[in-house]
This record gives sequence, structure tokens and C-alpha cells, in this order.
Amino acid sequence: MTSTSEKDLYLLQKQMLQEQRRIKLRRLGRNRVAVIGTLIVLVMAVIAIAAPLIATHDPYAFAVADRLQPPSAQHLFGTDSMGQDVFSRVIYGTRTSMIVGLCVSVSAGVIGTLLGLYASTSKVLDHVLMRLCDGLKAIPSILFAICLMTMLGPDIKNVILSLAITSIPNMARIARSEALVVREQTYVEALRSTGATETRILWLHIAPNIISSIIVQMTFVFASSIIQEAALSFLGAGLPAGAPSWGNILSDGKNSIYNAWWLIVYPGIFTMLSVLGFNLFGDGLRDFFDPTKV
Amino acid sequence: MLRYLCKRVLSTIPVLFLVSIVVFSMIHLTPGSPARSMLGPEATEEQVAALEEVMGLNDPLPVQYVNWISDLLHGDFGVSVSGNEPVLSMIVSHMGPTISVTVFALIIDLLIALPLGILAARKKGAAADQLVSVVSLFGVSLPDFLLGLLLMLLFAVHLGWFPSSGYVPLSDGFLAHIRSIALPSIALGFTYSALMMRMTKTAMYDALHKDYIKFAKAKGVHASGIVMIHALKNASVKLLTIVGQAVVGMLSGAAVIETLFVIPGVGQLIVLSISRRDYEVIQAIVLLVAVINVAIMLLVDILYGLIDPRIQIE
Repeated sequence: MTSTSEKDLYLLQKQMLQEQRRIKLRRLGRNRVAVIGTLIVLVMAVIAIAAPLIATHDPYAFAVADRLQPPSAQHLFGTDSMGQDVFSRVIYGTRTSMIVGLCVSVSAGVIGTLLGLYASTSKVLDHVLMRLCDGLKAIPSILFAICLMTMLGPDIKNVILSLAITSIPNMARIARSEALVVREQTYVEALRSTGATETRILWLHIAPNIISSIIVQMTFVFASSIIQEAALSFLGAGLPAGAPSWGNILSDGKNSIYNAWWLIVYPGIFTMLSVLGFNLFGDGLRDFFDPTKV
Repeated sequence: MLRYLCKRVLSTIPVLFLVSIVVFSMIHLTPGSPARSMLGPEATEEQVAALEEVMGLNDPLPVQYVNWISDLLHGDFGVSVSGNEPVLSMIVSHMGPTISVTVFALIIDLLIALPLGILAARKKGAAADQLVSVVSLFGVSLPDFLLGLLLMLLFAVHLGWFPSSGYVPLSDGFLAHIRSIALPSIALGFTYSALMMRMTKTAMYDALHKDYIKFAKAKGVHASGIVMIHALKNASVKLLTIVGQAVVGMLSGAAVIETLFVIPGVGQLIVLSISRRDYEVIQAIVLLVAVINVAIMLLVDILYGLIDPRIQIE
């Protein structure tokens, strides 16, 4: 007798969970803007992963005889001032942007969460870490990144490092303020009274509750990293000259602005679409995690 | 008010101290010697060692920091490595165009953002509101230098309405001056208007739904009077923060925009200093912008207290 009712309960629970999942998915599907954002993000990810399959030419191969050719069947997006195929370079540039965005947002997310969580545990640590963040935040991020890049030299690893350093303070602030709110909840007090250690409370009970805000912020960091990487490369302080990056192509386009619009328009569209996609995706995620704020 | 003022001013000191530490360590703790990066890879070890000695790079770091800070406090920003010119006078001589572009961009920013934001707040959900949402979304997603490039391509190269690059100082005629800074200012202004529009919308929406607005309406105050006098003043506290952020953002965004439009401002100076590896200039400009940032935030805080006296007590 008991076993059947247990089974019934189990089935009921499963049904309810399924129902909940369906409602969540339907809510996600109804948010058209978020769907568009997700689609753009997915397309960009596929382009980045499958770049060698999509590209029609070697992004580094140049043919001076073919320089500044307008778009044609041979060269879909035309060629640049070195005779390199712009389509292939834009496709490989997507890979660059996605790698930079992913590495920066993940490292800033992880380090920022760590700093924020531990800042919320003690007054002294909080003061030291947050004042440090204030100091870092007072320096505008693009100038900070330019400055670091000058010292470190043009390289994708240095771009990631510089952008991660400039994104951490904001991330830590968000993690800290969220953690401080969760810390005041009654269930945390209850945990403490049952003798749970600080580390256990921090990692098993506070961290899961702030993770959604961190993920949302990470998508915005992703979007701004795409912009910053393009800006740094455009200035010659990002990826080494010649490496396929939207900023490098745009920089070439600026020099040939009177002859070759395709060097600006195509990488421009890709940059804008991907930033738009990640912003929409982030907005959608925020609505999904916290429907009360809509 | 005096207590509030003192508290705010004193609170900037630790931030400024930290900023100076960050800028200093950025130059001195990154791998590789500044002397080596200035001389380039061709220089011999002896040349690098000699320059390090001259620049005092062999002193212990705390000694170097104290020397640097005391020089700064005496108004000595050092001498540029490439030009042999005092850094301060270099920065001052590049200040004009940057201020001009920033002011003009801020005017454009406010002209776009305020009317549209207020309109969207008054008619929430209507076509105007949706238009504002779409425009601000594109504004946020379009980096300023990309917008600048596209504007240059369309209005300078294809239509020829504006010069594609170069700068005409104000002393050479007002119209020519405006023409030369129009495109860069629009590029900077539009990017920040997106954020400002969103903030104007939410701040005005909140203000318009307060009880005292209902009272003003009941009293028979004209609709435009309510918006312009009663609601805007209350919303302006939030808007001031965004204006402050926009000014700092435009000053730092100038690095990219001025390079793009070949405007001889502070932004171009910092980018040129990168290729010259002139770290004295870079260090000074970054510190200067950070100090301006802190000063603007302080000013915004003080204005808060003036606009809304309740804040002083908190």
C-alpha cells in the first residue's frame, strides 16, 4: 500500500516538474526579443567553432594583385589592402571575438564572484577589497586597457588579461551586494544555528543564489569585451597587426575609406549584430531568472 | 551643508590614493622594464641599464612611488621621453579640441536623450516608447568608433557634407570649427544618449507617479508645467549621475574617436604615446582622467545635496 502511494507521489512530482519546465519554456518562447538574442548568440558560436569550414580562403593568404577588390562571387566580402579575403577574415574574426568574450566573461565572473563572496564575510576584507575596486573603477576601462596593452604588447592573451582586470571590479561589486542580501535571509540564520560552517554556507547556500545575477552580468561583459577588443585592435593596441580581428579589418578600412566601403560595412555589421545579440540575450536571461522585475 | 561637503571631499582622498597606486603599479609591476620597452628590442643591455639609472628605476619601488607622488604634488608631471617636452604642457596644449568635442557631444547627447526619454515616460507603452527602446538598444550595441566610421563613410566620403578628418580651431571661425567636430561629436553623443534615454525614461516615470504630481495636477497645473518644473527637478538627481558618467566616458572614448578623425586632442596624444612607448605621458593622462572622474563624481554628489537637501542628512 505504502509503496504504491509513494510511487503515485513520485509520478505526481515528476509531472509537476515537467509542467513547470513547460511553463518556463513557454515564457522563454514568448519573449521574442530574447529568442532573437539567443539565435544570434548561437549563430555566432557556430561561426566561431566552424570557422575553418565556413571560410572560403586562408585568412592569412595574401595576393597583392587582388588588393581592394569589391565583393564578388570569388570574394564574397571583397579583399583588403593586402589582397586578403575579407569574408574569411571576418569569419575568423568572429572566432577571435568569441574567444576573447568567453575568456574575459568567464574569468571576470569567477574571480569577481570569489572576491564578492569573501568580501561579504568580513568587514575588514570588505573594506579593503571594495576600496581597491573603487580605485580600479575610477580609471575608465578603455584607458586602463590601452595602458596595460602598451606595457604588455599586442597579443590575444594580453587583451584577455587587460579586459578581465577592468571587468572584475564591477563583477565583484554585484556579487558582494547580492551576497549581503542573501546573508540576511532567515534560512542562512537557521543554517548557522544548526552549526553549518561559514565555508559551507558560502558555497552551498549563498553562491547558488547569486549565480543568476552573475551569469546575466557575464553576458553584458561578453558584449562589452567584443566592443573593447575591436576598439583596442582598431587602435593598434589589441591583436597583432595582420591577425584576423574585426578591429584590425576596420582599421584597414579606415585607411582605405575612399576606396573600399566593404572593409567597414561587413565587419561593422558583424560587430554590431554580435553585441546586440549578447545584450538581448542578457536582457532575456534577466527576465527569465527574475520575472518579477519585468 | 558644510559638514556634508567636508565628508564628501575627505572621502575622495583614499580613492585618489588608490588610483595613484594602481596607475603606478600598472607601469612598474608589469613584466619588462619601461626603459626596455621605450628603447625597443634593438637597444643593447648597456643602453637599457643606463636609461634605467637616469630614470631612477633601480631605486626600491616605495622610494620610486614617493618620488613620483611628491613630484606630481609639486606640479611636476615629468618630461616626455620622445619630445623632451614637459608632460603637463603637452597635455594642456592638447586639451582644447578634447574639451570642444566633449562639450558638443554632451549637448547632442542631451538634445536626443531628454526629449525622447521624457516623451517615452509620459506615453509608456505607446509607439514613442517602443521607438525609444529600439533606438536605445541600437545605441548601446553600436560602439562609438564604429558609428564614427559609418558616419565618415556616409557623410564625409559619399555625400561630402563634412570633412572626413582634421580639426579647425574655434579661432578660425565658428562654422568651420563646428563642421570639423560635428561627426566625432555625433558619434560620441549618440552612443551615450542611449543610456541617458533609458535613465531619463525610468527616472521621469518614477517622478511622474509620485503623490505630489497628482496634487499638482489636481491643483490645475498645466501638463508641461508638471513635467518641466515638478517632475524634472526630482528626476534630475538620477540624471546627474548619468551626465557625470557620460562626460568621463566621452573623455576616455576620445582616445578612439580622436584617432579616427585625426583631432589633435588628449585622446590622440595618448594613442600616439603608445606607439612612441612614452609611458610618462600615458601615466599622466590616465591619472588625470581618473582624477577628473573622481572630481566629477564629487561634484555630482555635492549637486545632489543642493538639489535634494534630504540627501545631506542621510
